[in-house]
Amino acid sequence: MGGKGTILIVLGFTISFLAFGRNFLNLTKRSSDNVIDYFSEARAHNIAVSAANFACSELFQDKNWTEGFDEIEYQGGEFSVEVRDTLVDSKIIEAIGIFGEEVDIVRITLQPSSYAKFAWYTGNMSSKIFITGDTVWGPFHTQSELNIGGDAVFWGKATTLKGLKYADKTASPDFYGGIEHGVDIPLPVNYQFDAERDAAIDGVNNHGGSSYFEATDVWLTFHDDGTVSHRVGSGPDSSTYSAPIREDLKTFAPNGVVYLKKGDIYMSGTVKGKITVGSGESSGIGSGNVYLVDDIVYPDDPMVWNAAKQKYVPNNDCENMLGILASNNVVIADNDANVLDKDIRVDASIFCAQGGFKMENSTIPPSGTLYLRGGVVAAQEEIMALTKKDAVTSGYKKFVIFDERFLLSIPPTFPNTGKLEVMSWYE
Amino acid sequence: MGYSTLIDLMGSTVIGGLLLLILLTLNDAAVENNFVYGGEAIAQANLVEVVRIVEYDFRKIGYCKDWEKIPDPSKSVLMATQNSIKFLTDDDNDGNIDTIFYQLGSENELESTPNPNDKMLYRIRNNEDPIGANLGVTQFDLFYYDALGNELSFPITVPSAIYTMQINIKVEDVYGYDRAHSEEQYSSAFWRQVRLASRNLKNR
Repeated sequence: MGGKGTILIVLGFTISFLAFGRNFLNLTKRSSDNVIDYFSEARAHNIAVSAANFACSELFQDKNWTEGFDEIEYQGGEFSVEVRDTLVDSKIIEAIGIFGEEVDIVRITLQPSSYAKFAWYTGNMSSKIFITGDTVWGPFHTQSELNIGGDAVFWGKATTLKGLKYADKTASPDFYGGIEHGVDIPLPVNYQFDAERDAAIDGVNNHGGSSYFEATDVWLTFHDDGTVSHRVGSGPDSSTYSAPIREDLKTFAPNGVVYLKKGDIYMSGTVKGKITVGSGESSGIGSGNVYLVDDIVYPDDPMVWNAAKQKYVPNNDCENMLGILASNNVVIADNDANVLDKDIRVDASIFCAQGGFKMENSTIPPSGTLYLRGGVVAAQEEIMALTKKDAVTSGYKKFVIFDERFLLSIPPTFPNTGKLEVMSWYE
Repeated sequence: MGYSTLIDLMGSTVIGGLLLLILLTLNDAAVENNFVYGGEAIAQANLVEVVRIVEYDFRKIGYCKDWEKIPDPSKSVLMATQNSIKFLTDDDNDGNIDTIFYQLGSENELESTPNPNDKMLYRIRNNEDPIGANLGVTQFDLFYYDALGNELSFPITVPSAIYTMQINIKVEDVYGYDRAHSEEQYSSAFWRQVRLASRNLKNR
């Protein structure tokens, strides 16, 4: 009897331990399955991301690349990539990564990159400095060192290729959007406004416009009713120019582009509409300039202060846009309108292919502020103010508010980098 | 019935008792192991689920199917602390901007569970009610780095400087074994994403 009981007890425990053992094995298997599933998902995801990066690399080198990839073995799995054009000049990359039974997709939208995305871009700062009172709301970049000579304030992200340089030991700039060095965004050498010239010529030849000029100076006065007065002549004295012709902006420049070959443009007024004004194909610094003879603004504010957000936000009711292009300089003219009225206001995105944004006379009396709502892209930084012990003795402090509408829309034919940039990355 | 029989009976009783004791000890060890292994498996499964959700969301910081609605993705992180983050995204990929807010709750909210360290991890979408599940999260630490790889110190006053982040998550078994004798009995699993970069923060 005792023997049978012992056998039954041993058998009972054996069965019990077998059940436990099976349970242990199940737990181990579940844990392993968990890890393997996660690993497979992560691997498929990484393969898809890598494939997307391969495709981006191809497109950054050749924006017309459309071949894609088909079932390429990679990292123990495989990937395929499809590149599609869209109706709005953008491209879509769809990268599929496969590992085992796991499939992951990365979808990227790319679009041509415009130079209008900067509040202030300088190719070479040389010895020019940012001073106390200079304020930039928006993206800033320089291809050289960023020279700081005072307590300048940068509210957007600032990037430089070669870092910071303090011209004054007491300088204390604020970078509220952060600063990053080693970022390379080159400006093309001797950029030519071919697209603008072609658009203006097309407007004249095929659409009844008259916004293409050659070997003359052009005087443009914009009016807030959507018209513009234009004259041709020579030099800064408008009284020597031809009689003004006032016409609707769309009649004058049907394609939205005014282009002058070999000459200077003098402009001011209130711009109602979308227009790009370009002065190109200069032969030396005596042409290819745009002179701002007075304020040039929109009838409504492109950016407005939002007290709740404590920042400037786009005014979506403002549909006006101005691009100012110069193969040399955009110049604040030395005249009564600019000197007597100490501030100058500019609503535009400015592009200086070889020069910069400057004063015609850097010794004009101590002045006020350059209020720029838009942006500047210039090959060179030029003097906007002279200072003595951190006080402005002549010229203008810079108060720049980036017109964020330029992130979505740009003035007609405004220069782009010729490359694509990532607009959205879904993974 | 002599002495020898009595000794035999006593001997066999002692040996049988010892055998039974060994079997009971074995059984106890088996039950404990079963409980601990089960807890570890649950903690690990919970951790993988939390990580899946967090990775899915964090990779989409600054993403919107209609990219024009987030033209400057660097401004997508609205608020960031060590245990919480609020950011813009397109959660359901419908082209509309959503706000996602992750926040670790306090220990007091889960006093009903035996584990004193577990907390609710809340995921709040737009202004909807918080969604939280007690998956045994005891640690949800976020560390942020700028474009140069420098760690940003708290408080983070300029969220747009965030370029990458480190995520540490620890999940423990909500119930433990033999808790009366040791708090160490809570099985745990730990996961660290050394540098998670939402690609959209670098756009443009």
